Amino acid sequence: MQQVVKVAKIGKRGDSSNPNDYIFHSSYNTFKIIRENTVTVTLAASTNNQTFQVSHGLGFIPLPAAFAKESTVAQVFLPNTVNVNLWGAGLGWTSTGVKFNYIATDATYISFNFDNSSASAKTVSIRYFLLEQVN
Amino acid sequence: MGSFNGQVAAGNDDGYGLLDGSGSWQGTLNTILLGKSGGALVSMFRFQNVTIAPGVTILTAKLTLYFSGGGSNNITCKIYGLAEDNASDFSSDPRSRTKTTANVNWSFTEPGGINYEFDTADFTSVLQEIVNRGGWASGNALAIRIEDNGSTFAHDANSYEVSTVHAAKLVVTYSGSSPSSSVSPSSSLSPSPSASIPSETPVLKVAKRGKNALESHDPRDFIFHSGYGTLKYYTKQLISISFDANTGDISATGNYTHGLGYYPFCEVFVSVNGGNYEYCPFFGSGASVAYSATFIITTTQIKVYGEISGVSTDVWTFDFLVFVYKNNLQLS
Repeated sequence: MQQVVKVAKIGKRGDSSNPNDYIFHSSYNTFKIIRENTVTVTLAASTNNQTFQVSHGLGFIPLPAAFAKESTVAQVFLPNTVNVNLWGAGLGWTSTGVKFNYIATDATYISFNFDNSSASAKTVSIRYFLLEQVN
Repeated sequence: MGSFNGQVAAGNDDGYGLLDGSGSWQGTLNTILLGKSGGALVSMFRFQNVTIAPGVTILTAKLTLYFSGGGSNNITCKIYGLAEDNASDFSSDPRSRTKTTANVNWSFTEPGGINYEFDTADFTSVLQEIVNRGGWASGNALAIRIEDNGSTFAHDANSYEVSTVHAAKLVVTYSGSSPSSSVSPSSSLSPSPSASIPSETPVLKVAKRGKNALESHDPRDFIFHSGYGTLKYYTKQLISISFDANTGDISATGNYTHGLGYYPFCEVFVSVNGGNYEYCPFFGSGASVAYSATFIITTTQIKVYGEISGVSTDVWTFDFLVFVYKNNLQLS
């Protein structure tokens, strides 16, 4: 019989076959944060498609997650969106001028791509997480 | 939590000279001067085989120096590191090498005595900058640089040449991914530092089927490994927003107050008008209208936004499923 380590949620039985009833179950992989770090980049003014690379040195392609914050704006935004600055029901949202286009990984690098449509350079800090192997 | 303890291990791994680069580098003397003597001084210490993995969070960092000599003067310095992925030794004059941006102030009053053990100020930010370097790897060497910052005298610290036992030490604690040399049986509940392989930190790990928990150091081979963080699930919330495009509204917003006081790791999925849940930020379109959803995170709230563009007279509903994790993004 295979040995199992499992911790049930409050109110759930330890003999449940439903993985959703567990905090932890050794038959189901947990996403391990293999690497997390913060990098700070400077976005040139009025420039789109700016890419910044960081070497992760893992030797495989990791699953990434990233969150960005402009130094002068007290909020965090994600890839594939702008840093929403203003909103109006009839106007929709407008941004600070900064858009986090994407995060991408290969076996060596993490790449962060931004647009900065504002007339000022922007300092952006990016917290990234590398979780498990993609391929 | 992990720790690293190292010590200067070679004659070319410590020394001092005048901060302005004049004169000779003093790498073979029996003493390392800190402070000012004939001019402001710079002192350096190199540590080999620093087994701190990249990406860890440095908690504490200090040098332990061994002072010899008397005096009661104040010595005022700044502590930097060398901004290098793998610091080479000081067989060539190292004074012009690039230093870290991070630095800390360190002031002390000269203690008297022989081989008097004395700690520097904590320079966590300096260590963090070094291990955050893209080329940093566990086992590389790093160097610490101490510059005079207004002293009127100098104080003597032991060099490697005078005493290998009382050469400068580097003492670091950190959290996060750590190179593990511990041994633990598969599927074990108890942290079990091995008696046969020295380990600095007990490790709890559960190997995947077919993988060897005793030998593997690859995080991909484990179901769980206490040397690597996990996402700590906190709560799931549903935020539903809607607007009537027939009245001219094109957007709506909503929020969830998490109240954590920091920026938490979040994942959000959105369903538009009862459709499939998509990973947010999300963009979609129909025959005559495009729709999009996004969110931002503050230290107290998750704010969601949905909007359309194009021709529509419908009521639009965006259902956001927000997952919040108690993982602090540590952004400021």
